[in-house]
Amino acid sequence: MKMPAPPSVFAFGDAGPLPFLGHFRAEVAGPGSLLRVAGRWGGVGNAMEACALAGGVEQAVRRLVRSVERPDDRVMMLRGLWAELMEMAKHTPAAMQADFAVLIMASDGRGVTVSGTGLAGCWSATHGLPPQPVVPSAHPLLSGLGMPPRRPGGMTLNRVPNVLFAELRHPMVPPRGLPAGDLFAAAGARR
Amino acid sequence: MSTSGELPSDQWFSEVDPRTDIEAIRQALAQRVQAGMDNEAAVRALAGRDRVVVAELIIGPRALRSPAWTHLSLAVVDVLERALSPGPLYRRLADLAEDRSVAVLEKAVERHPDAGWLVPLSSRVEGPEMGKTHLLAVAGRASFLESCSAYAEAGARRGLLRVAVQTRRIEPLAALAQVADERALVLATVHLIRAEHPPPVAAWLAAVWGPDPTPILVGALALLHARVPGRVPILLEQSARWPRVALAARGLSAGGHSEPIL
Repeated sequence: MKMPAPPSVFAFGDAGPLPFLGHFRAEVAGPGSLLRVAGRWGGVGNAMEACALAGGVEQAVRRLVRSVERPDDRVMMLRGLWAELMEMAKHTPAAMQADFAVLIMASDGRGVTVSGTGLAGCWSATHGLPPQPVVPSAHPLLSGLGMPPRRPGGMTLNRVPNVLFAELRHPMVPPRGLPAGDLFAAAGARR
Repeated sequence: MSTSGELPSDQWFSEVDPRTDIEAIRQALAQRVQAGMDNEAAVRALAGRDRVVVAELIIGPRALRSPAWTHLSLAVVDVLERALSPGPLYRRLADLAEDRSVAVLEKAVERHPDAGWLVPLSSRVEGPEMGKTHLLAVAGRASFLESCSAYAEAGARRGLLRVAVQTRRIEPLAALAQVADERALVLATVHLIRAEHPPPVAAWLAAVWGPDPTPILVGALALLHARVPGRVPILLEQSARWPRVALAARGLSAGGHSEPIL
């Protein structure tokens, strides 16, 4: 059976005048695999510092195909990315890591797996249907902010949606839930 | 009538009855203004007796229109504010001031820097450059972003661009992003990159627009390539995070066309 197209991944902007400070979004395609991420890192810094950290994550994603042994395997891609991120964190001041949050989607011919940290909510959207929460509020996918001490687990999706939206936790602002209006615009992906 | 030469003296104003002699007062003030006399003290003294009459004289239907009259109006504007709420007052003063209406706007900004009615007043006075005078004056205030947003919501574009360039601040861009005006952000990017010391505008765009501002950067690239190609390397250096910008630059260098944003 042919696998459905992997979902796109977006993170909603934060409250405040600079909603996408430190936000990143990237993807990389391997042989039969695909990995997409959306998240935030360095939002406590100024625009240049945040941009540099976010750009660093995007670069790490893009070079993943060359840096993992089995780029055709979504689990290996996920593990490889977490290893890269944790290595980057070792060279990043602790204060700049406090707001780290990410949603990762990895797919191959056998399925789609999501992983993440610092998520307040995660919704799936499929054409014509209202967004649905991917997991209940107590699920480990919705963990606390910051780089986790150990690699988080992954959750394989039973149904593959078109899009995954994430609300990232914020160091100062409580979660707001699913935004009203155009979800893509709320994620800084205006169409 | 006690006069200074042929003109009514300050003493004369204290002796007349403001209500019954309003036409004589109007005429006396007009003569003194025309003669270049300082009228502030006389008007203030008059206002102490009847500020409504003073308001009638200065901004009423038969108020004079001249630069000297505007000068007098602004000198006693605190008195006028006690007779009329500031929004309608400054709108009327701006209309009376005609080509000196910017001075009225400046005074309004000075006295009420966070007032919402400044937006329509600025539109009335500055037209397509609305926002420029007010925002430049309040760039140091905590409410700067809020003020920028108010102008962006009201449709200000050229004024916000000028403020972005002159202040080298992120707030005007954030305000344009809030109203999702991609074209204005392209122009702002071009103007900022053309500045003598360009700010980190690409990083700003990522913070206000979204993590992938490639369409805006490519639009700016096309304009810079056409108008000031010498600034293209600065944009490319700032845009290194987004590889499709460099790709578009190579296309332009090869004689191709960029995405038609504008």
